[in-house]
Amino acid sequence: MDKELLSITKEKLMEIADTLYKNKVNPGMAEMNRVISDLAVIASGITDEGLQQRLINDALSPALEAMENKDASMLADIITYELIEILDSLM
Amino acid sequence: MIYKKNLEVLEKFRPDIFDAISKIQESSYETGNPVCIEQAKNGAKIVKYDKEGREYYLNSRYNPAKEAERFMEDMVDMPDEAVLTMVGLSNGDFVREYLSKNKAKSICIVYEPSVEIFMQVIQNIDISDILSDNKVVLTIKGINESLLNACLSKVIQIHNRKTNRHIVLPKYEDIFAEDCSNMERVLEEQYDRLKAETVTVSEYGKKSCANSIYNMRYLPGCRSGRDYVGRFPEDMPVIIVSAGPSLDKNIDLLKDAKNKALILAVDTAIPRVLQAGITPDIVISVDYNKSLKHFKVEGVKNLTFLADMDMNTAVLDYVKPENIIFDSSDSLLWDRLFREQGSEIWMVDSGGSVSTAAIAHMIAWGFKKIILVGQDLALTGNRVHAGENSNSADNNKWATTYVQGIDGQDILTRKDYCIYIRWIEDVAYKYPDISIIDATEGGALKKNTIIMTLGEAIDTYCAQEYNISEIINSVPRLFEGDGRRTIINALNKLKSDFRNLKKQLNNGISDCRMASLMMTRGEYNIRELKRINASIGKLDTTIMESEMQNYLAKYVSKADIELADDMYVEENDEIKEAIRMYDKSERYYSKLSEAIPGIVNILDDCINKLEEDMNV
Repeated sequence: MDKELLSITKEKLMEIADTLYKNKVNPGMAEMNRVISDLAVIASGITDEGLQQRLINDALSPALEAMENKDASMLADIITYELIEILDSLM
Repeated sequence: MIYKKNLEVLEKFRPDIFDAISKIQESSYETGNPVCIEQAKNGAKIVKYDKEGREYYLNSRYNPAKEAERFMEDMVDMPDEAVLTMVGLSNGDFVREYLSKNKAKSICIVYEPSVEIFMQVIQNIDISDILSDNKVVLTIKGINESLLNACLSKVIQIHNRKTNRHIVLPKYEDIFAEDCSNMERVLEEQYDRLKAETVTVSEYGKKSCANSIYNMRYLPGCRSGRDYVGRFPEDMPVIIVSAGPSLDKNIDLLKDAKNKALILAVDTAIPRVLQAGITPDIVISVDYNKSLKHFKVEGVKNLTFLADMDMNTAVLDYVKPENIIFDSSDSLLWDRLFREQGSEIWMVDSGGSVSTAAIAHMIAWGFKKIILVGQDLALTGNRVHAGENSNSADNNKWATTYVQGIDGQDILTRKDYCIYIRWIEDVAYKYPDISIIDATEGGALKKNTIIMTLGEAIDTYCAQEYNISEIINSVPRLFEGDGRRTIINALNKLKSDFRNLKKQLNNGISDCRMASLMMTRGEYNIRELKRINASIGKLDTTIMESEMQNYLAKYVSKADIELADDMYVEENDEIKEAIRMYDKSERYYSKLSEAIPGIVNILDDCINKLEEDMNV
């Protein structure tokens, strides 16, 4: 697993969560769109099937749903309490 | 238990809300209630709102307090006197976060557009800490939203206009888009009002100062408005005649009200009223620059004038009225002189126009039935005033907008009229025991007033006859006998005080300059700095608390505004902030010092005129 990618992605996600918690919906969503591809790369690189499923089911899918609904606080929550936690476990 | 606790606090601290919700039927929230209180993953209570089949969570579903902390990060440690306006109460976490991270002098005005959200929150979430905090002004649509404008008028001022903030809580923009937009419009009107007031004060400050000195020539033999409080019978109505276009419709009916109501005409309505053969009991003039054209009418000299301390002296010089009632002053000197005469004079919040001033004065006098005539506050028939031709309203002259008319249709009005419409609505809401009857029969709708024709109003309220001129004349005149000499002596003392102040100001300027230089160079002579701070502190007290204050503030109003404007826009660095304040003070003292000769000239001229009056 590319540790540098994990670290940079985590950094970006924290900034995005901050933007979203301040209700800056459009900038936050736009930034999240740019990070999604990195998250997909990270997901494909996970060898632990259980963890991979957790990333997809508990984090990425709800994140995509929140993005579709433009639900800034929900997306911020998923980033903070699900995504970042999973990334930390991979580092 | 939670509901009971919240209700107890509401009853004690917000009785208006408590009384209103006591009347709300609980059943109205059982069926079709869009609001639900749920639990976040950390156990905290959160609010969910259902709109058109879609669920909106107003709080984080994981940790709402943490979300509030991050959302409110930019609202931490706001400057003194700053006001935060917030659309949305949500579960209370956002307000709570603001209160925990801000100083005692910051106010938070919350506007909750959903009474359903408010009711569900107080029934299920303990917000007693918020409800009991007097730094929170809570307004709820459908309960007490009329309080919003009155509150904003009071708190949004020059000194905080650059530091105030406005926020909309998450999801409120999605659910309550129209309410959020209305709130922005209300705030825009308030800042427009402030801008208009600032421009007026700035442009006319010197004239206002001069008027307030020269009008002292008319103190001998005047009466005080304060002495009219409670003088009129409680059931007697007052009819305030303004000069709106609709006055032409019903002016002749005023004859039926003569001696059955106090007829108070604003200055712009004088020509039209006298032309119709009606003699008002009192006329009111407050504007420091009112045009003489309204007074160049036969019979005006015999009218009783209700005057503001700084009304246009040229009007008094032209009319030379025999009966003047001075009813508003913000001068400590006038205040002292009236008290020495065994009376008082006070400051009446005029609301910004002569018509709103008339309403304010009549409320202060104790009238419980106030009938408004000619109070269009709209460009009815494309006219500004009664008696004008149609199309006299040059729409290019003012910023205009549409408001709701009394017939429910949109009507064109001037943007500044919106301020007065809101003022009347707020006053009508604030005084539920006073009936404000809008008998204009046209123009803009003023909520919270009773709408009827003038004929109906006269039939309903004007049944009894009164000897009104006897009541007016029963109040003793002031400053008779050696009153003129008393005024001359007071003005001479004021002149001497100003000369002394000029010397003190020049010392203050030197002190500020020295302190700023010392701080800039890093030469912290603590003893000298303490001496300087004590000295300029004493000077500031003299400026603020002496009888000179009012005249200085008006004469150098631009400087006053400049001083207040960024007072609380603080530097982060304490040394830089100290230098900023010393430099600011030096500039301010310089402006005051430069102004004093001009004020002394006016005082000299007025004293000479008073001496001449004595010799006549």
